[in-house]
Amino acid sequence: MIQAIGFWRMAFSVLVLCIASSLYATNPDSRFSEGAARLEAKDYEGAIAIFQGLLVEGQEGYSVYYLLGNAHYRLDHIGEAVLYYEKAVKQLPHNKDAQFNLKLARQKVQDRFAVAPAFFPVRMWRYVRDLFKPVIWFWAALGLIWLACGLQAFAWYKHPGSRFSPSRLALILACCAFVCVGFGVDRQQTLEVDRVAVFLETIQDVKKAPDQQSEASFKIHEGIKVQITDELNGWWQIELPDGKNGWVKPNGWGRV
Amino acid sequence: MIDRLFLHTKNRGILILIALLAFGPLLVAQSFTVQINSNKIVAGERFSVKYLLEGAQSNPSFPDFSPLKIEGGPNVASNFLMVNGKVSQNVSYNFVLKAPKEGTYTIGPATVKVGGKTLKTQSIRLVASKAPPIPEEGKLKGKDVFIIPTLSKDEVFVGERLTVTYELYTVKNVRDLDLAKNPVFDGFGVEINPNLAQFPRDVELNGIPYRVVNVKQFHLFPQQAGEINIPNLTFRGMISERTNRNDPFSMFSIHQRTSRLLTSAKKTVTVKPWPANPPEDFSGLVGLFSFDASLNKTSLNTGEVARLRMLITGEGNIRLQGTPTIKTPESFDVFDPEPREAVRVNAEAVNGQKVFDFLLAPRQPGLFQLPSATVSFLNPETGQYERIRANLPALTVGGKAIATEISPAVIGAELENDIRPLQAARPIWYKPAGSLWIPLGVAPLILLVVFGFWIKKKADKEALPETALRRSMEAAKRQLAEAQALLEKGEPKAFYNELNRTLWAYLEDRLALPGSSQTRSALTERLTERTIPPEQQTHIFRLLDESEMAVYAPGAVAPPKDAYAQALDLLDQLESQFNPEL
Repeated sequence: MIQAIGFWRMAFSVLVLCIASSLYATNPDSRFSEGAARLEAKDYEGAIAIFQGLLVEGQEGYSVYYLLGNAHYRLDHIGEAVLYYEKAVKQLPHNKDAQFNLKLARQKVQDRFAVAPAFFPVRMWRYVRDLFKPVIWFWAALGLIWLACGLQAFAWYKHPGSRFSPSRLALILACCAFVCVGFGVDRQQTLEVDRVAVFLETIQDVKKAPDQQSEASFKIHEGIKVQITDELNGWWQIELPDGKNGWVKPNGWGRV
Repeated sequence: MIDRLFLHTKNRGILILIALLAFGPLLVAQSFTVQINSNKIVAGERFSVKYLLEGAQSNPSFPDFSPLKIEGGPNVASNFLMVNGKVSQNVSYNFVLKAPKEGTYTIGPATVKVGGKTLKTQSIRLVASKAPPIPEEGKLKGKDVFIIPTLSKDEVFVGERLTVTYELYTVKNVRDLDLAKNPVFDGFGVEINPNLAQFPRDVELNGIPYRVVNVKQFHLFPQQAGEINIPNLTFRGMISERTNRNDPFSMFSIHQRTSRLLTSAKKTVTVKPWPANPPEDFSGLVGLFSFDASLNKTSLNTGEVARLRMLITGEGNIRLQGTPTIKTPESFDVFDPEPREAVRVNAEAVNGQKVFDFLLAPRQPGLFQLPSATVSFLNPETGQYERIRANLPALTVGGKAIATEISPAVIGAELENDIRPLQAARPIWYKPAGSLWIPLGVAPLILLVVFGFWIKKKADKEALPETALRRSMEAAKRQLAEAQALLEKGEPKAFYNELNRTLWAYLEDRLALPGSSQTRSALTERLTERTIPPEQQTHIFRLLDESEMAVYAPGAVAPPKDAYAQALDLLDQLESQFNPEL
């Protein structure tokens, strides 16, 4: 009985998928190419429309973000340009081109901050973490675990007496696997967590409290990147790179 | 108890300390005194009176100070001193008082009760004199505070650095001295030294000792020849002065602070024109410089760009250096650079660097020798023009001739002032990897369970009696084989020794024969118990005897040649007796 329901459900989803894919006759790759071609032909709005369409369908990734950033940059939409370059950098943190474009876009942002670099070990950790995608870290960890287990099994087979003392190499490999898991999970989290936002409109007052009547603390301008530290009754508490904070309505913001 | 404690030096020390803390104040004589720096005071000015209670702790009662006004206090301070083993506790009470007008005042005695005794201070008589008039701003005028500008040179070339340092000479305390208004140096390019060292030094001028401090320093680069005035600068500072020099309480003396404008003297400098016949490429650079020019590539295709970087480094009016001219082949498009400069100013010099990045875009292929780049400057020390030449390598241009101008994107990319296009040919899509972590966590668990089962099974099997028996049989056979190897190596004695040992070990194990009772009688008894037939028993003993003889009396009896085969045979026979099921 249960199997029968499972079958029908499966059949139904296959059907839905077929209909859906027939609605979008072209696959994401070719539509991406079309968007890139429009960008090349300086049809920036057209390119943006195509890329946005891809995003709506959940087809996201470094390339789409990068080109969206480029298209918005050409249209002088600095907020959006910063937002999408930030997203691109988030996807591929070691990509020089995305970093460069982000730097250029940021130069047009009115609010600038000198941010002190993080503590050295933290920087090292982030650097290594960002070298690979979570999947790669995952496979590395899995490979190391199996390798460690294989080694241990071999050690037990060879010396049955030393049953409960793992071989040293296996132990080291297991530790490496553990570190890989750490890198992978952390990388995964940075990809999933969206506590960073970019302001997309021209100017906004930052309030001292989450209330329309509250006094304005300071002003921010288009393209500024902030940390969202709290969300309350439809208000965001934001923190600027220099540590200033306040409350804003989340209209006209894009989460990175 | 106390005696016992005193036996330990450490304890003794602690006890002494406790005793001192408890009874210390009693060990020192008690006194109560009043202190004042001088009996002469100034009306309207604060002075302090200090009451000191030594060797006791109690609440003194102070006299009525009127008509003197209490401006502050009593400020109570207590200290606890131990000098040469003597402990003293002092409490001081400090009053800040003011005489309202000139005249004579008397402060009555203060009293304190300590342990039934009453201690009393002396009464004080004070004479307050009339306050001196507060000096007005105009009266401070004189030679006590002034600012002098000093020039590094009296005669300079146009464009040469002239350093003017404003020094403050003062006999008074001057604070917050700064320019009253922004200076305007007409006819000069100006660099302010932001890190002026302000260590004061003492200088005697006309018999008066002055303190001299650097206030401001400017590096001026004259822009025209002639007698040029360096305008006077106006500074504003707070001059603080003690209003009454007779004040006995320097601590409480009032400093009269006056805001004052100080104007420096005017100076004139002679600016010489440049020497005649300047080189063609001289653009007004005066100082001492080095120059380098380089190409970022030596071969390229038409439609691409090469970057020609000119780098001028040195000391002087580097900011004034305009873009040098370069000569390039006709078929080259040249994009003029946006110069970048970095200038560092210190007390001695204005050092800097200026970078010019020309972009060269050839339209025709071929081999081009670019003329060497030159920069000339005037060395003010020698008064001579100097020229630096930088040779450039030949530029090989490939590709086809093109007629159109190069695209701004290429230029932008080269100048790094435009966004870069996407490099990857195929789009990179984001695939969430969240679900992958579950198998990763599960994998070691599965492995653990599998290993656990495996180990358990292995251990169970090991624990079976048959396994143990088979193991001991296998071990015995292995030992015999090793013994045989010894015989083949030509060591019969070792072989028989090993044979004997193996047989005994096997029998010990099978018959549960303790090592201590390895006697023939015990062995016979056990073998009979296990119903081993007598002929086999004989066989056992014969083998044991023969091997023992071969070990301990070699040559006495000829050992059997097939001892190894016999032993193996015997073991098999015995094993079938002990464990028929195997």
